Amino acid sequence: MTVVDNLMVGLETALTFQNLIYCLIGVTVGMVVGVLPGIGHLTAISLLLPLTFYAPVTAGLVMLAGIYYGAQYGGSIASIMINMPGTASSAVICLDGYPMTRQGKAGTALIITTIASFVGSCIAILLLIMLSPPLARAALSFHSADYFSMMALGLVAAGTLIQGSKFIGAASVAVGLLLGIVGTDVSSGTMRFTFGAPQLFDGISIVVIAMAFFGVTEVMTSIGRVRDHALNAKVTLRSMMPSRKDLAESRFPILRGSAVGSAVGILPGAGGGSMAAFMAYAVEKRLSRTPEKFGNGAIAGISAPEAANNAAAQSAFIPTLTLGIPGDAIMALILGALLVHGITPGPQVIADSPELFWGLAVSFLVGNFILLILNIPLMGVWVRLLRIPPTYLFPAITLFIAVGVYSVANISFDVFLVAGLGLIAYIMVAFGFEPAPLLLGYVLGPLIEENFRRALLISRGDFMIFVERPISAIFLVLSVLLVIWVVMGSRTPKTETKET
Amino acid sequence: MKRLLAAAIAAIVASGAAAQDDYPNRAITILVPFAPGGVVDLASRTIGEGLSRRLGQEVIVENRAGGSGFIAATAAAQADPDGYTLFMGEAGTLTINPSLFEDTPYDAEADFTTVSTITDTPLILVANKNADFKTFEEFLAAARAEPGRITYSSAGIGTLNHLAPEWMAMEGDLDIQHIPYKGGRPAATAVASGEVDISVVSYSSTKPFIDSGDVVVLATTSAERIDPSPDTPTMQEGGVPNIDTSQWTGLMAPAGTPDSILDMLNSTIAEILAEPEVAKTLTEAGAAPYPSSRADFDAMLDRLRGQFATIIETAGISAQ
Amino acid sequence: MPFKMRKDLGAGLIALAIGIAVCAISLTYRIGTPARMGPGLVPLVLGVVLVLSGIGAILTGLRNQELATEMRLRPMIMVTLSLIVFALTVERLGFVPASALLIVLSGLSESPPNWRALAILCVVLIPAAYFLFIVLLGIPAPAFDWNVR
Repeated sequence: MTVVDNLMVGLETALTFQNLIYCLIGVTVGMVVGVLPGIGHLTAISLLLPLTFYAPVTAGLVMLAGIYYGAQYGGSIASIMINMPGTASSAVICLDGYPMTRQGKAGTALIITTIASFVGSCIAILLLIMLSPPLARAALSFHSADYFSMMALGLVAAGTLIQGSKFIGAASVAVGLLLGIVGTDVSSGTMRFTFGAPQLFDGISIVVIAMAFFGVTEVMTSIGRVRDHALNAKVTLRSMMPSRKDLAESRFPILRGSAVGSAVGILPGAGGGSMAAFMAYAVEKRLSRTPEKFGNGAIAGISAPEAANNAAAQSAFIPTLTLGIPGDAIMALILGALLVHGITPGPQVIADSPELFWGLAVSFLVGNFILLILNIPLMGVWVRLLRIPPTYLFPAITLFIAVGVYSVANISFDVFLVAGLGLIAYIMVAFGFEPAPLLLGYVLGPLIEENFRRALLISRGDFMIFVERPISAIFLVLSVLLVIWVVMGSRTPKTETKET
Repeated sequence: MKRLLAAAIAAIVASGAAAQDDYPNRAITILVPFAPGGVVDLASRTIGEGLSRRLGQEVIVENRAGGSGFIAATAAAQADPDGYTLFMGEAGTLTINPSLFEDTPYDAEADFTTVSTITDTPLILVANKNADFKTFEEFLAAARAEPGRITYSSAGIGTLNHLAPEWMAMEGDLDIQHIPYKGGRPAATAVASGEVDISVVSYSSTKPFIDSGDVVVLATTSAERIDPSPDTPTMQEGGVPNIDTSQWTGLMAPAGTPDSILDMLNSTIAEILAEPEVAKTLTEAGAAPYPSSRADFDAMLDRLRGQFATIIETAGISAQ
Repeated sequence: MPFKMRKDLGAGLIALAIGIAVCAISLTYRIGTPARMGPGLVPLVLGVVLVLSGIGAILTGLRNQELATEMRLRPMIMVTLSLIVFALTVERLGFVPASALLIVLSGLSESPPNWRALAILCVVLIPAAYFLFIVLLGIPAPAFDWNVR
């Protein structure tokens, strides 16, 4: 099939009434939660995951993905207006977005980020459409050893991005991996860590893990807190008209940001948007002839990272859909949603379910158009969302957690589990455990173990299989280089300021 | 036994209240041991929709996935035997689990009674295109020449794709090595990529690889040749006796459900499965409509339970 | 602040405790050989990783005085309790009472609780959630029920 044929399949799927509605719901919900500080997109996707189990698989994924990139758009609004990032990946936008607001240029900042988001997404979507089929074809010949090495690189990369203590980071990943292997062992049929409960034979549901670590933790952290922030700036349609100069100044930053974001998003374990945004910001600052402007409302300081985090949000789907290897926690959730629908993510997805893959790809384009069109007239509404009192928000989220978890298998057992795990998660996070690499570990854990043991079963115990297969060897070398680079890097004294 | 007695009493009490005459007078629930998606879920929804249309009562399809089917099967086994709770079973929950697990929380034989089989998905033996055998006979010769060399993929321990090759190995006196995967698709992809040599898979899930020439079809595990691939010989034709298995689904009711209800459901299901629309929906998912009498279904369960018990014991398979 | 609230020290102790428990349980599974690895090997390795990283964190924690994020006891108790009560009541009392109990209990996290907001939430949210989950998505839970077993 040619690209045109594929896109036709995609258009037919994405433009059905049902999928359009799900897309619209997804991006709108994404915008709302993106704007609301305190509910990150991981929390939002965790909360809405069970809902998608009741939709047809394509529609469900269209909605989930919509929430994700919708939240990327929305996240920057809170950053710009109140200097509080709505999502982690828009933290960089605060640096120059909030100064612009104080200079009375909130409207310009909002519209420039909207345009940057749109362009960044579109470029990454084109990449997804062009790159996925050949990658999937190549991946059909991958063996268990290759998958093991690729996922090992992903975990190592995720581990190196951990900001706090490396020990606690490693422990977070290990706990995630262990949570992932609860249940029936694929290779032997043994029940592990199930304590005789049949409800655990198939493992702990991803919904329970996600709700515990991102839902319950969030609620316990934020419930009953008074939110105090000033929301003074008014946003009118007129103030949103960007000047010719603003557009000219952001043109190249947007393109460069899109390139950086697309590339970072594909890497396994690169952590998606936030890493891409930080890198794009650093690139712009280095290339700029006026680096002193950065931090004081430089327009390139919002356009490049915003393009980058949206591009990364889209290109992250490439390894997830073609290889079945999630790059970050959100892709892990998307992978979980596919599994629940009985679709094993991997190279066969494009061939088996072309309408799913191409429909999803085209729905990304549709969704981004909807966001662009929706955002300009509705910007005022989004800004007003920042005023919702938390008193109403958090009991509602708690109810959503309970019902959502219950709905997965219609058993109260899972609700007890989320209560217990949620409490433990809250304590662990307070002591510095990182929930995002933990969730990635949870999804990758059983896959890594399964592929590792299977590779050795096939080689009859010969570890050389991981080096003899060229693809596996390449990824193992990359992992080792990454570890060496991190160890060397941490030895040289850093001049940069410490994170607070 | 106590439960059976209680069930029988309950059934008599219920029939005394003339429950059978106006059955169904409220919603019927079909418990499904798998998550939405997949053939078992599809069979349940298709039949549920048909029953609801013909009986004029709502039919709720309730997915209670997990625990190797334990959760749904146990709930169904303990439900009142009044025809309002039914259970969509398949090879695993009804015929394999009793031998695979030391202890199951339900008794697949005593807790259930048959209503009707619903669908049948034929299984085929395929080999990677680069394997040094192209026919079933050549495969048998190769496997006997070098015991333990040939590897096969399965969808997991104790799945039909695991037990069918073990059955073949037992009857054909072969030594082949099991490589488990998680699910049918990865197992099929593994043969296509050449990571393993052979696999017993459903025809529908392997069709893309057959069409692309990545795998070659050697034989079918059914007793007779199958519709989608009439040129493929059966294993019995190829000289391995007794092999007769496929992936089927069948509707069950808690033991003690009145026969009049079961017979009425059986004949209604036969009518539903004869509808062209229903046949089309099922066939598109690779499953043929498979109506049967209750006696035939009972006989099949008996035969398969005995068969799988022997295979599991011979091959030394266990889940702890 | 008691010293147990120190960040690295606390995290290290948590990791150490989980690690030891995991190792102990893993040893009850078969470990196996490289060619036929048993189900116990990978969890055992992960348990050891947890023990080692736990010790590492404890050692850094002896020097590093940084405190853990302050934990809020009231939400911890009330939110957990609200979920447990929901799990206990949803099949026995029905969806509506279970939801109401959950909203009120989780609302008690705030002190003093905002009763007006909780009442509004009960009136507005429960019918909406009932419509979304039970009517639209068909989750099999009754609105009201009474089968305390």
